[in-house]
Amino acid sequence: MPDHCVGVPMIERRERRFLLRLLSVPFWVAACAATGDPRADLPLDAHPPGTPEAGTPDPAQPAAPASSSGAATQPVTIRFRARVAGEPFACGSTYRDTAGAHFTPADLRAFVQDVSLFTLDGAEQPLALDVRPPWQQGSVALIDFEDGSGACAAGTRDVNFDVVGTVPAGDYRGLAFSNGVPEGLNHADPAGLPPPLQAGSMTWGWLLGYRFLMAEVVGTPRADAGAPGSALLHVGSSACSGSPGAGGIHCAKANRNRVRLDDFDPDTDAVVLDVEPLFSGVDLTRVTTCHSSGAECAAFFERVGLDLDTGSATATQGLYRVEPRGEGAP
Amino acid sequence: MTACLRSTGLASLALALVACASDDARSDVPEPATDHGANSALPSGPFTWQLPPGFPPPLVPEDDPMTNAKVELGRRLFYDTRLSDNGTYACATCHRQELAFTDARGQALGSTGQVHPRGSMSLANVAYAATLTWGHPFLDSLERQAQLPMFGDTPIELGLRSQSELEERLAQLPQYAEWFASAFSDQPPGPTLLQIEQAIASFERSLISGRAPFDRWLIEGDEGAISDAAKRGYELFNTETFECYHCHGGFAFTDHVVYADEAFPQVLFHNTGLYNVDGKGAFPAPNTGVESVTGNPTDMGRFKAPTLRNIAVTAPYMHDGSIATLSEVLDHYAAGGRTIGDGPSAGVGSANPFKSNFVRGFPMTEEQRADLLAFLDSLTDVGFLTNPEQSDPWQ
Repeated sequence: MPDHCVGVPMIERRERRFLLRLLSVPFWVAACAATGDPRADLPLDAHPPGTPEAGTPDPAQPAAPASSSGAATQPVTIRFRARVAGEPFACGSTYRDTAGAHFTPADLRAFVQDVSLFTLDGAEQPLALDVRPPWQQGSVALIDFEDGSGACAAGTRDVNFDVVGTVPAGDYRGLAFSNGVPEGLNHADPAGLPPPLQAGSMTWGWLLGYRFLMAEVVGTPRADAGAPGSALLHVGSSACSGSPGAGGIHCAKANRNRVRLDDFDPDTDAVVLDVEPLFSGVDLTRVTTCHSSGAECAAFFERVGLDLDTGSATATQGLYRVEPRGEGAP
Repeated sequence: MTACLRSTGLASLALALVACASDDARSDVPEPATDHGANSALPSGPFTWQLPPGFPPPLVPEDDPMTNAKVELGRRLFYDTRLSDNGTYACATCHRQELAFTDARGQALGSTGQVHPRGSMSLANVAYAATLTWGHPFLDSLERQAQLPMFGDTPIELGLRSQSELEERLAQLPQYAEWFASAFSDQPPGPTLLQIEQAIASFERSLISGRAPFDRWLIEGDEGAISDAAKRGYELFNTETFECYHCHGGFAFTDHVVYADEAFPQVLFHNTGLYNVDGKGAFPAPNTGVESVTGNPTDMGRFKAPTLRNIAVTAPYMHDGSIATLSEVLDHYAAGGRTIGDGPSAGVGSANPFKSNFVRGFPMTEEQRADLLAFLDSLTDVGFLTNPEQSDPWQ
């Protein structure tokens, strides 16, 4: 079994708070929990690919048949790893880019939604996410590679590398997921939601939404004493209008990518997020920022797998790849 | 530590017996209740609006009704530096009462020294603001807005990392546990972020300013309340030549208002020709106004008209503090837009294609300038700037 127990004391405390919070969250959440639905979930409009689109959110009708049919299911842990040009990613470590500039990570976190595995004959099977506070709440998971050390000082000590859920028993090969928060939750008030959707670094206050993917690096002091630069990428739905009340908020650019890793074996492989291709070619002697709009986003978005003009997912991406977990590897 | 008794009117008698601590002793570490001034029990009962004449009832969210307890708890939170990660900043650091809850900076400074692209807005009559901040088309909840300075990191303001961190920090302070239990007695034990932001929003809604000398003259008929120059200035303000009243009209002196039972809330934004850096209307990034939210090119440079109440004490002016004095603001509007000759912001603002039709320019004599400034001065509500019920309870 993978070790899920990183930062145990904090998680336990948060779990207690989470349970307390259920008492004060809207009725439908409490109802979900009270009926013992293992996927106690929040309503959402988004539907996993390959399933019929639900017109009305209905927590009693899980998208995946696994937990409603009574058929045998199997647990799945999707293990993520972060790398920098193949080296292990670590806050506080210094790396050198292809232009010779030195840099250190400042943040690396991502929401994951609509996770699917593929059967050996190619059928897409949505992964039913476990409720796993504070990292998962049923329709979305947070992957958190930063541990608050080094230049990641704005982060938190706890880390999470896993997405955990169930699928119908069987053999699977191939993985798909998106970096995002389901549309039905993206503009809800974080203060009333369970973790990992609570207010904090991943909430994007100015657009009343979430950061789906946050990656930041800062240059380290240069030999010529020039001021170091930085590069920052915040991906989230943008170009928004509407109202949080009646009618809701609508973003013209969804900015949810679709990552497809055909060779992924859930039993033996890990998903590697390598930030080197993300920041490759970015001049780390100056400041480059992408808040999901503007010309500086162009190269970033292509690698994340997004069309900057439309906010749609592109067919290819350059951020994630598959790698064997290896015997005894973390 | 000394007990500080307020020299106050009857309204704040309950608070007058409160002992106060100095700021410098505050830290993340819980302190004995007696170390803080605001250690009295919260007042009880429903909140009673004491609205100035002409002010309609504010729109209050159904799930956050005004109570005396929440307003006072919100006041204690608003002035408490433990709401910042490093213990140096409170809401009140950037929203100082004596400056109508602004900070005298063109661009606000966060708790870690990062500079905000925009200036701190006045909170006077913020209960009536149709949307919040300088140019946001749908951020319309004071409760939710509180999350922006708490958790925002571009730039860092209060520098809080997470909701749970804040909740756990306040839960460790016995005073707050008691106060939250009192203010939210019908809810499970907090404090929760929802409760924190509801209390702060309740205090903010209580910040009503409408008893300036101008009001004593216009509403109460006190002819001696303001000068003849100010009266002439008010006439000029309302002419089609100067056009001021179109965007700064009404009881709040802004067109961006909402109140209870209002059929047609106004959510208006205007490009006043302050910049035109590319000849096509662009404002300097990231201060592009509503465009930064909607991505709509025609929203470029559109910001809301701030209230003119207490405007004489809220310098410098405009969203980015780029105009130092009210006299220069008048020059900007008289010219129908600002021309900047050189530098990265150079451009002819009067030619901005997205400019409001009301910003057409006008001739202005020096006497007219003086009259308009006298009128603007008459909107300073000293009682609001010094109201002991809304001052720092920790002092």
